[in-house]
Amino acid sequence: MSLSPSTSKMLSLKSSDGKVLEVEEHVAVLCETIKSLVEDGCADSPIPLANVDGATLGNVMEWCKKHADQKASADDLEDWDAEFVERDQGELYHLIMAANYLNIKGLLDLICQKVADMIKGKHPEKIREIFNIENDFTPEQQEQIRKDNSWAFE
Amino acid sequence: MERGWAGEGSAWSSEPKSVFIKPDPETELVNSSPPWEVLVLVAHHLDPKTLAIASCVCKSWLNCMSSDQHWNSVCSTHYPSLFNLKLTHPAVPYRRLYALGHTASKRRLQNPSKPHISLENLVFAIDIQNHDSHIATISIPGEDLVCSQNELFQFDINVGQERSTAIAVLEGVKVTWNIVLKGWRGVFCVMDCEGKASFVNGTEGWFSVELPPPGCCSSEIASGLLADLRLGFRSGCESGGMLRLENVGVGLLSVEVLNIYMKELPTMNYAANTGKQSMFLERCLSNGKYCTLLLKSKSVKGFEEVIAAVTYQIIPADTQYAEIPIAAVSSIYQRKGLGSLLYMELRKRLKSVGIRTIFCWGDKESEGFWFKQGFVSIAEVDTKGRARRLPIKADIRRALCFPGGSTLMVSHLNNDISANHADPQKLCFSSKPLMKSLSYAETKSQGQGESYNIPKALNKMISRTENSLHEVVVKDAFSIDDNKLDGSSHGGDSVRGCRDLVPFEGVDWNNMTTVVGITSTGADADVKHCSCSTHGVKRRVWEASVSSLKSKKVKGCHLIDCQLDSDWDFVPESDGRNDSCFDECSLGTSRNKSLVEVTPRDYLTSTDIEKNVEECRPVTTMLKDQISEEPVSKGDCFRIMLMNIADDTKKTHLTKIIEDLGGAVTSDGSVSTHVITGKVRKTLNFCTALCSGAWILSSSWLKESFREGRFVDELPFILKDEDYALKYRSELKGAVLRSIASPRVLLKGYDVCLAAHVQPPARTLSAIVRSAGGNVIYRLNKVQEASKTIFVACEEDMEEALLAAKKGIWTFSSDWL
Repeated sequence: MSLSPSTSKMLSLKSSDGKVLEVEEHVAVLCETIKSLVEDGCADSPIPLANVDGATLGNVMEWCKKHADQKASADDLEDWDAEFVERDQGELYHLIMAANYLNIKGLLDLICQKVADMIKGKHPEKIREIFNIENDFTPEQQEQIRKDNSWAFE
Repeated sequence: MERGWAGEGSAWSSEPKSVFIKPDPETELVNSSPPWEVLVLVAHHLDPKTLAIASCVCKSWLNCMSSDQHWNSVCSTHYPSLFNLKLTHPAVPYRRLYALGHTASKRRLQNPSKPHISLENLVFAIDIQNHDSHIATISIPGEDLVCSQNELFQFDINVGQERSTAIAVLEGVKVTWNIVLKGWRGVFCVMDCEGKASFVNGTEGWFSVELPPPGCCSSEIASGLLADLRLGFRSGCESGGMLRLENVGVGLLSVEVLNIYMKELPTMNYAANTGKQSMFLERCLSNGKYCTLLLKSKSVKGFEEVIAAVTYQIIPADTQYAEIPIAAVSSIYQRKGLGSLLYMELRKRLKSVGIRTIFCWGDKESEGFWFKQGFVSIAEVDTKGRARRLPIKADIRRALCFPGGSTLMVSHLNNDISANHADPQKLCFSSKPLMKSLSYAETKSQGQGESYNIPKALNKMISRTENSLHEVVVKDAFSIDDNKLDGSSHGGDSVRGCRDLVPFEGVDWNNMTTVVGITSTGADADVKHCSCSTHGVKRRVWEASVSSLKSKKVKGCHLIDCQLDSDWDFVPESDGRNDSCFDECSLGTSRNKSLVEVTPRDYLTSTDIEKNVEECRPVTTMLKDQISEEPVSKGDCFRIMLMNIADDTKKTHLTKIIEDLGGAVTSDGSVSTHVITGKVRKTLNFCTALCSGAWILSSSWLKESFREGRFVDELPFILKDEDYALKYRSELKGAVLRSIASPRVLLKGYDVCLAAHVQPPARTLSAIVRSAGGNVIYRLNKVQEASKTIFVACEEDMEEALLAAKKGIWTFSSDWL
């Protein structure tokens, strides 16, 4: 079975839970963190990624793979991204943290925007409901904070 | 396991979509709140408003969302100068800084809301002191206040014995009137003054102070409000010859009227022989006996100004008689016929409530005016206000005011003066709204309320006083610069112009009065300036103005200075769409006027500026009204485009007819005023002509015109095209009328973007667009405001565009978008 371009070198990435993922170098270097390691010549042995679990790493690499593909058109990518972010909140948080750690700006922006959109235009009550947050303000604090930000509720 | 997984990974890397890796259940974060690292990252993607709302969610969110790290950048982008200021004055967190900036900019855009204070929320606190003793100390809650007669903002307060001290002499009396907003939310000092007047038994002491102007930066604008306070004293036997304060009258009244009288009639405010201020004018306006009819202008700057006023009363002893003690027109508006207009209106109103005789007081200056209005002088009053042998009944005589040094004049309404002073034909505008307005006037007149411009701050109370609102507002429309008229040689003409203005005004008043009725029931002191309710009437106004212009035979060059219509700004009362129409309509008119100035490509071409104003005639005739009965003179202002006439001989024949009638044949749609055609077409010429406001007529118009020997009224001959009606479900007539009423406004303010491959060619289209007042652009990237831009890309779109064009101004939103 012939794999993708044989010219591309494979990198091993090791997740926090010890899983190893083999990724083509041109895909992996979308992660600035990995890119700098590669540039420093430290990428020969499996690269340990202590802050990313295997499942998330898989998802991240899925995104990188798609975005490393030169053939994909911008529209295509946009549609694909839109589909990609349709995940539950937990996964999104993991992705954000992973993207932040791996320093993938495109992915970080994408997911953050997704979460930001979930917050946008909603009242605090609704936000608490969506994100399963308990209101830990005392009534006085609540009143004060609402007053401070009253301009935003107009 | 590890390898297997790695194998899976590489397999996945070749077939990315087929593998989906589930997140590890141990690290599952489903339904848990986002960790703070995530929050911080997400916060960068939130707009300030969301950031502020999100900070109200919970404590950890508050910490995260309100950190300076986010707001810092937000502030530096939105309010860089405030941001820099904070660097030197760091007492405020960035979050707060943004809130300040945001609220400030929002407040900047908002109109301050009108204060609404109900009388129930007020307490009147009045102190009357004499030297060191209190004459009376009164505090009375608003709900206990009894409106004085006439439902004005005037209250009589009875001062019981227990509340006042009897005094022997009245020298310096200090009067303080505070209005307290209940709950001590505010105290407003309406009046705080000392009076030097000494009071005679049984009379009233009088104090009046003008209220400070609203706001801090409006030194030029007076508040226009006068607080007045009257003290009624009585010497009772029970108090042993001492004076006792019996009642206090307090009120607020508009001094706008007073100001105009003071300015125009300075001598009237002094007692005839003493040179002391007699407060005659003030008393006329504020003692409740007189009503005042006002003419107000609404200048472009937005504040209203009383430009003419006439004060009158219906004599209570015999309600067939009325008296006009004073009347004035602001000096800059004098000699423009405004006085006559105002008087005409008053006369109409008085007549309708059964007044048969009007007395007025003239002095040397005003006598001439009153003579013109049909008054004859019947008696002279000497400077001391005494008159000998007045030929009037005693009971009426008692009610009159007798200003010193004036002439009593009388006019009997039965001897209709309209024959002399206004073309009766033109006074026949008395349509139904007028009748309504008259009855409205009647109810008010019987109340004998004065014209009060109510304090805006006390809006709610207005409901009490609105019935006495006689505000009639007219715009600066009459700023015809008389200097520009050749005074001597055109003397006769100006008189005629004056007459013509009368019906104009008459029309206007019909509407104005109805509007006054409406606005005052809305308890709105801001009486809207003149507005018209129906298309038809508006047209008449327009036409009347045009006709007055025309009859003046102002020469072309004078026309430039006649801003007759440019200041009109119509406020519709019901239909938002009318609004725009009339605005446009006025725009159209003013453009018509100014065409003489510069615009060479305007709706009527200005080749014959040196011709006289008969240029305006097409407008007049188009507007189809009484005026059209006048013979239409020959002017080459009829530019007629013949379309769809194949037969050359026929065409020559028609051309001859047109030329015989004084019109001209043109082949350019954008300059034509009339289009004769058999059916609706979508050619360039047709569209441009329609958009520029030309009549689309059937050939029978020409036939009829030929038969009559003049151009006849167009209205009945507007082309009826059955195909068109079927196709677009609308009569062409409507579209024609709309575009005539407002030429070149269809696409006004719109950018129309034409794509490179449009069919018909871009050139043709751009001509159409321009004739409809639009702006043409050729590149999408030049689009400035998406909502104001129309993109015409292909033939189908073109169809739409034409459809919209034909349907006229109303439909473009639905059809374009």
